[in-house]
Amino acid sequence: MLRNSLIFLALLGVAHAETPAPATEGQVERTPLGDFALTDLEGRSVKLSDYRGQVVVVNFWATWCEPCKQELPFLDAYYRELAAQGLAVLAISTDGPRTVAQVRQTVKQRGWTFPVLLDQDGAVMGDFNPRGAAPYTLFVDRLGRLAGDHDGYAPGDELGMRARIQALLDEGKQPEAKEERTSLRVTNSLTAERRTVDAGTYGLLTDRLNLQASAGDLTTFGRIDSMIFADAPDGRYQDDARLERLRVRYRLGNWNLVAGDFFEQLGRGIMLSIRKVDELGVDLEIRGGRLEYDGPAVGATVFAGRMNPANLDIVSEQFVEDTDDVLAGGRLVLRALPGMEVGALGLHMRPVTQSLPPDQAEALGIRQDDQSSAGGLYVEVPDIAGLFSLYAEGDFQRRIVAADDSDGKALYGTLALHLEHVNVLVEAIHLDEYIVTGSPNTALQQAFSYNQVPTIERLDQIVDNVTDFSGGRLYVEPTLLGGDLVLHANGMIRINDPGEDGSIRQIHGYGGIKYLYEAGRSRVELSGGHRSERHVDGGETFRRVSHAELDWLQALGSSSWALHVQSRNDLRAQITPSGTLDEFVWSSTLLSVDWASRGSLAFEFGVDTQQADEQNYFFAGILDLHLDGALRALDWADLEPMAMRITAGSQRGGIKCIAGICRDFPEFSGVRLSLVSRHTLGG
Amino acid sequence: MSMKRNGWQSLAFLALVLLGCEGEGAQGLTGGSDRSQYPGFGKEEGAILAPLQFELPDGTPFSLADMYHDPKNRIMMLSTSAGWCTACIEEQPKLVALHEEFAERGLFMVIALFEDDQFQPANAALANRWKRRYALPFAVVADADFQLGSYYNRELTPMTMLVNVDTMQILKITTGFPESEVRAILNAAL
Repeated sequence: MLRNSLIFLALLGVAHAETPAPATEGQVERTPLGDFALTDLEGRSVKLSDYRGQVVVVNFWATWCEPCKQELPFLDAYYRELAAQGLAVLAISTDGPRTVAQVRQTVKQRGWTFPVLLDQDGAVMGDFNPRGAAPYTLFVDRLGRLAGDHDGYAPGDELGMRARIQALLDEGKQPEAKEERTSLRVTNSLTAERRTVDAGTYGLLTDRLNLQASAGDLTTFGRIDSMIFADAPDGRYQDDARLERLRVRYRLGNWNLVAGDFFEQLGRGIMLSIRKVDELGVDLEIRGGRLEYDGPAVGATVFAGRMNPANLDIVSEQFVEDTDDVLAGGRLVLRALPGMEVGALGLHMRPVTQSLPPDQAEALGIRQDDQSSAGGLYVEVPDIAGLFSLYAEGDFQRRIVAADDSDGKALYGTLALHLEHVNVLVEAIHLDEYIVTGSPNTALQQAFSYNQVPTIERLDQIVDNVTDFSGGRLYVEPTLLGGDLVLHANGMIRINDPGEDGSIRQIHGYGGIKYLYEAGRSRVELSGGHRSERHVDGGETFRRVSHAELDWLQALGSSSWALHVQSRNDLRAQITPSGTLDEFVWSSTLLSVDWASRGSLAFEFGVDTQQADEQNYFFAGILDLHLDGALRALDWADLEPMAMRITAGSQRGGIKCIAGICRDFPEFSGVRLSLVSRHTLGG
Repeated sequence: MSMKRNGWQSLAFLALVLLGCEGEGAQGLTGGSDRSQYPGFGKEEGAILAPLQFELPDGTPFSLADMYHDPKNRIMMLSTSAGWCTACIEEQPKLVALHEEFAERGLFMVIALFEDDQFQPANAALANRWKRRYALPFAVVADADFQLGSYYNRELTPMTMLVNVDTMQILKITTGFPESEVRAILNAAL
């Protein structure tokens, strides 16, 4: 893959990378939010409608999201203080297969008391937070109506949130208010950019219109994607407009029926993980039907449909053909023993595009019928004596590719120990040719991957083998000063292609310290580590990196202003054809001034010395402006929620990884303008 | 026998070339068409691969037409590499193992290098170093003009291409090295 080099706006901190669209905040015309059901950390089913009559704060967060973890202590404090007045907080973890193992220990370590719900496949996020922002908070009044939302977190935001919660609580139960049954929410994201890539300079206008409607127990979601190019360099960049997503969901008691596009995950994502990671251009859904029953002792899900990838690859900005691969599968969950869940998983898949062109296969005498079938079992014990939690999964797969049969096997287990001042997590995985791929992604010229494997590696590291490897990791996290001081140490070892020629051993040790101060409004985090990759035969170093990171957020007094510095610095080395190690520096630093709920102004500086005779320094400026918040603060206007982001400068291409998924980003030089607006209608 | 097959195959290849030219050049009869570039062969799966020319480690030219003329070659696997591409370096031992397994059955493998570790165009010396360093028992060539760059997106290097040598039609183009799928196709085809 292309150089391991700079990617501006990314890798400095995943949280920044995870919120590429400008944030919005606002109070909206109140309309019913609709309902959802998720399981909590103890495996119990929790519905939003269970809290009717209370003010509910629904917060989307993830363990890798630092602003989320800075915001949640405030919500926990408000919850403790105001629960008696009728406040409920539902913290929805959007962690995917890669990081979900850390959710429980994060919650335990921080001592959060509100219910934490797991949305591993992103289904609830898809319905209620379709842009995938983190953190993202919804405020629901006592009648189950959406009373407002808050996007992102900067020091000072908590004050506005506290005031909003109190106002909702003060409204009382409003028994005389008429309960509305229908609503329509519209979110539009418009991006215009002019950029230069290897293929030439072009302009692009993209628009994503999200429509969410609810009527009683019925909720619908639609998304219209449009893209228009100016001076497109070649046929890979195509104008297009289409109804990209359409979903109807109907809930009745413990039953949940979905028709249209939906996310799906089986187990910890090894067998199947169809979800969305916008920043990496991963935007897959199944178009078909899904029926779920979630009872106290038994749960079951069956689904079938065709794969429906988004047709604009937002990384390369190239057109992606639909695959229409056929999938059918399901799960059966038994909760016969208290505190334990046992499940069986199954999946059958048939790619529409076969391994070889039909006429070529015929000429070679190959009768193609590519397909794969898989079955698996898992057991989860969320809480053993208040100290341990356990998850174990085993999967078996039979594949037929070009009339050739082969098998795949997967084993995965995680054991977590939760003590008062220390958390310990052990993860182990063994994959033997476990491959879940479909028809080609025409933008990448390689098969779509329909699973996401717990890679056991740090989120931002290059992981280039997710089908045939063994490894494990140990994570230790002591806490001091009542949770304000957190230390962590990690050790990871992976063997890629164990037992084969060219097998590579990867070792990564890293650790750090994080300190929250000024009542949690400021934080500083230092971390660093060393990763090396060696050939098992001969022991020759193949690639290595020593890295150091700083993340410092300093609230400025009691105002709503803050300074933010994020820096990542790598000393990298990789082998050359001569057998020597080529060392180079990769560094990126972002300095920003944040204005709570109104925006930020950031400047980014990067260094990459891999190419001796090329440009080694890069700059970018990023202006985020929450138009509604800023104009309201200046008493100029009271707009519907609207936000704007302007990015200008040059960004070097390179591999960027989030949650174990890596993409190779093209170079960028130009200007990008994004506008997000939201409107709500009730009836 | 060998010469006979060789001759027929040469004729077949020539006919395919002519057919390809005819298809591309049909509009040329109207006159005034752009002939600044020689009409190309197909660059997608199912199309005929052009008889590209590269440079061997000793500096002599290597043409895919030469490979085509050897009747024992049934499937060609063409893989692109570059000195800066660690994924390419990582896959070399796997390619050796694959070659050992399928060479006797008619697999012809070739690595085409297009840049060195400083992103400069490849040359015969680089091909020579690469071949010796990874002890590659198959062809390693320099693609200094990066002709294969028009078959895929360079940023997604390496590319793996499988070609039916009997017809010179491209069976598969994929980025990365999906070893399991390649092995399955070779098992079925050879």
